[in-house]
Amino acid sequence: MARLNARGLLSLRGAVLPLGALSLWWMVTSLGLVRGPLVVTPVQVVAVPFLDASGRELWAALGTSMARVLAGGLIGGLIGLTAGYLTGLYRLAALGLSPTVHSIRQVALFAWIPLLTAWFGNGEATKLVFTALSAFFPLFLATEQGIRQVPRPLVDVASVLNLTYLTRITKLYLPAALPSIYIGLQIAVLSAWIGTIGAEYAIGNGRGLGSFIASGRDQFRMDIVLAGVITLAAGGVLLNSLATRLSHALSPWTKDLR
Amino acid sequence: MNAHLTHAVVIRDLSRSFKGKTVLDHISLDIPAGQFVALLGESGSGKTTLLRALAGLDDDAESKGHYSRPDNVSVLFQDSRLLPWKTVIDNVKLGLRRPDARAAAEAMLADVGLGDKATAWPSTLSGGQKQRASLARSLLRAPALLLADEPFGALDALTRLRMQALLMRLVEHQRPTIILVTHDVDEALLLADRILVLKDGHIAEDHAVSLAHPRHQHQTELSLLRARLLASLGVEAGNL
Ligand SMILES: Nc1ncnc2c1ncn2[C@@H]1O[C@H](COP(=O)(O)OP(=O)(O)O)[C@@H](O)[C@H]1O
Ligand SMILES: [Mg+2]
Repeated sequence: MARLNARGLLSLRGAVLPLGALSLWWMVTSLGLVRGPLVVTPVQVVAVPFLDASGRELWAALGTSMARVLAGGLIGGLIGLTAGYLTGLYRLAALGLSPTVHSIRQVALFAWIPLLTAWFGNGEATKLVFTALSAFFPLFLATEQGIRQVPRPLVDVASVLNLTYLTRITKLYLPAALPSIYIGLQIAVLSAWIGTIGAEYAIGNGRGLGSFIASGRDQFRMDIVLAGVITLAAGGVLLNSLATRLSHALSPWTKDLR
Repeated sequence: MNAHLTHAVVIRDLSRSFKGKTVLDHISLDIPAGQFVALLGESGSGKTTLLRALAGLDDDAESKGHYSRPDNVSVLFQDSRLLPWKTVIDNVKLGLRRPDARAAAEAMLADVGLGDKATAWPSTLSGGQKQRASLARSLLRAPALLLADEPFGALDALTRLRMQALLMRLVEHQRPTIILVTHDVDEALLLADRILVLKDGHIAEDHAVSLAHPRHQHQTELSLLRARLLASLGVEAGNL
């Protein structure tokens, strides 16, 4: 293993607080300082996805939620990207679309769930639509913003060089809007993840990390609930790093600026 | 002037104003094909406005009059305006739909001394190198008219001299009509066939410079014209 240098040590500072909390939890529970049906040790939480019959459902639940967040996120994200592109570039689209979207956005995201279940029922459709909606807003706003901020001097160049419409989109507007779109993507990915889990949790039926946590709660299985919550956080970190990698891979010219 | 000379640029009664403030006031001007015109004028005199009008980039101005010019126009800006997300060579051949665009761009880059920078990102180039790439992008299109707005204005003195020589070498064969906006009287004297001074919205002076190239700053004909141009720009020569 590589020797720890000063920078590596510094980056470990951030781990002090969580590690401290973890040791405290471990000490308090294994020494029997607190007791009760809801008190579980860290070891139990780590073991439950492997050793317990109900706990093992976690993996399938995680897979389902991931598939759901990718499918719903892709649909909502693409619609957000397209709509944001149109309102960012065209006055007419901005006048027709932006006010509506901006006011709908004021509705708290989870307030949509009753409405969506009324429209789409208690099944897969509602969860997908809700996930899509969660990804839509951040990407819509970021794309609209990014396209509006394309520097005028570069637009002049495009017009002087007689670029075709397609070339303008692919070589000027989209790349220029990318930094803003990337920020939107990071937010959208997390928002879609929370949206997926939230919809599963609120609707309760079917497979998924949200329903897994909800059923653990109903059975008073604190170890299952905690394992689910930790997986939820890890899933968020994973999706976030995927979004960052995608952003970097798609914008190699920023390599020296990072 | 010879009546049957073909004019590349014909401007008639061209006026431009912004929010009622007149910047160009009934300008008329004929430029023969292949002529190298330098356009001088104090800051704010409307040089950029005239160039942008000819480039078709002034839809925010109130416009009157008309002009004709070739379809194939290139514009060289003071800042290189390379797309940061395209490599140097992709910038140079941007929008070109010739099948040999890449090879032609490579040759043009070699010509401006950037043969080894083809796949570099613009952010890694120096100011002079960026402007070379921008020049390559403009000339690769073999424009009939080159509009240049203080293209060397932001470069250091040595780099500017090199760029001037490079420009002269490159346009020697293509022979486009050139309108070069500059605030540098010596640049105008060394490069141009004709020097215009823009003042109060119209062409206040129009001088032919017939001296052969290469020229030297200390040639008598140039010294006389320099004093005159500086005076019309509000600088008395010999006061420095
Ligand atoms: N887009 C614009 N909107 C408003 N005023 C402008 C615009 N472009 C130029 N002007 C004004 O027109 C005048 C001439 O500007 P410009 O052509 O840039 O001068 P120069 O290039 O000779 O320095 C200036 O007073 C400037 O403020
Ligand atoms: Mg100017």
